[in-house]
Amino acid sequence: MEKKILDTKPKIADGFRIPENYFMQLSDKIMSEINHKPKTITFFENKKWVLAAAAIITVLITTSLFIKYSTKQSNIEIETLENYIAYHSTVSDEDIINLISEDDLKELNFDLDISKSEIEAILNTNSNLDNYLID
Amino acid sequence: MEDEQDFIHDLLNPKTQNKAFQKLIQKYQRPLYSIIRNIVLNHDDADDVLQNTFIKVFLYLKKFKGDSKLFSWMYRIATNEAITFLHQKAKKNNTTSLALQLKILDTIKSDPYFDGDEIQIKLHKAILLLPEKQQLVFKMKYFQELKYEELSEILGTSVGALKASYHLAVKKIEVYVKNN
Repeated sequence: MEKKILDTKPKIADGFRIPENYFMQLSDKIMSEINHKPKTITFFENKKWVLAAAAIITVLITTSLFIKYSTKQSNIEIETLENYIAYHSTVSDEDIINLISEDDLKELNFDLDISKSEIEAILNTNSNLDNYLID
Repeated sequence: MEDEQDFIHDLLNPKTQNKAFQKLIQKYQRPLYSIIRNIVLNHDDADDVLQNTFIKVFLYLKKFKGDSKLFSWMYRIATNEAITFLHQKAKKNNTTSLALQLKILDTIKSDPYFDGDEIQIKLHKAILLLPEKQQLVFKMKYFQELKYEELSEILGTSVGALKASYHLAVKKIEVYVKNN
């Protein structure tokens, strides 16, 4: 029967050689590496620090973005609304009149509690009012 | 087992840590070097990977749960480090791990730290053609003569499956050597 290569005695060695004294110096080399390195490594190894830093950064970014965009957005909205109502609205004065009820008018009267002298002052400053009166 | 627990205790105690870790290196440097060298194939790379392995062992000792033996745990770290190193080196050279290993074997005769002959080179080439896990099983069993129970703990595979895997590897290697 044919002899199999892996059954030979002694076994086939892997053939790898090691430099002389390699293992005698290795532990000192590794120990000095360990004693010089740990601080930088432990910081990243310590997940608590990384998580805390990430949380703080996220909160700072979110807050600053919120402040920046929330104020800007409300300005734009008011302007846009005004422009829309002034130039693009299809709602006529009549529609508005129809929508206002008696109760609304009462409330409006209550709100418009202006003294006679104030009304007079407004009338005096609006010179074109005479045209309306004539009509 | 109790001895090992005492040893782990010494490794974690800041007062005894340095001395105990030096002892650990001296005890396991040769077998760990051997499995790493059998994966990366040249001495300089094996040296880098072995040092990284011990540094990782030192850093992660606190997380070692003692579910397996210290040796098996370290062996797992060493093989993972060696395989990762090989993948990264292959990626840097725009090639595959297998192509890289075959290239190293083609010029291994001129390596001052290799004293094998044709049959050894042929054997290493035959091993490289096996699936990754079968390679590990063969190297640990044939070159390092680890027991199946130890292999089972390191690789997380049943003894039966490991035996089958080893015999399959032997068969494939015999066929390769015969035909080449």
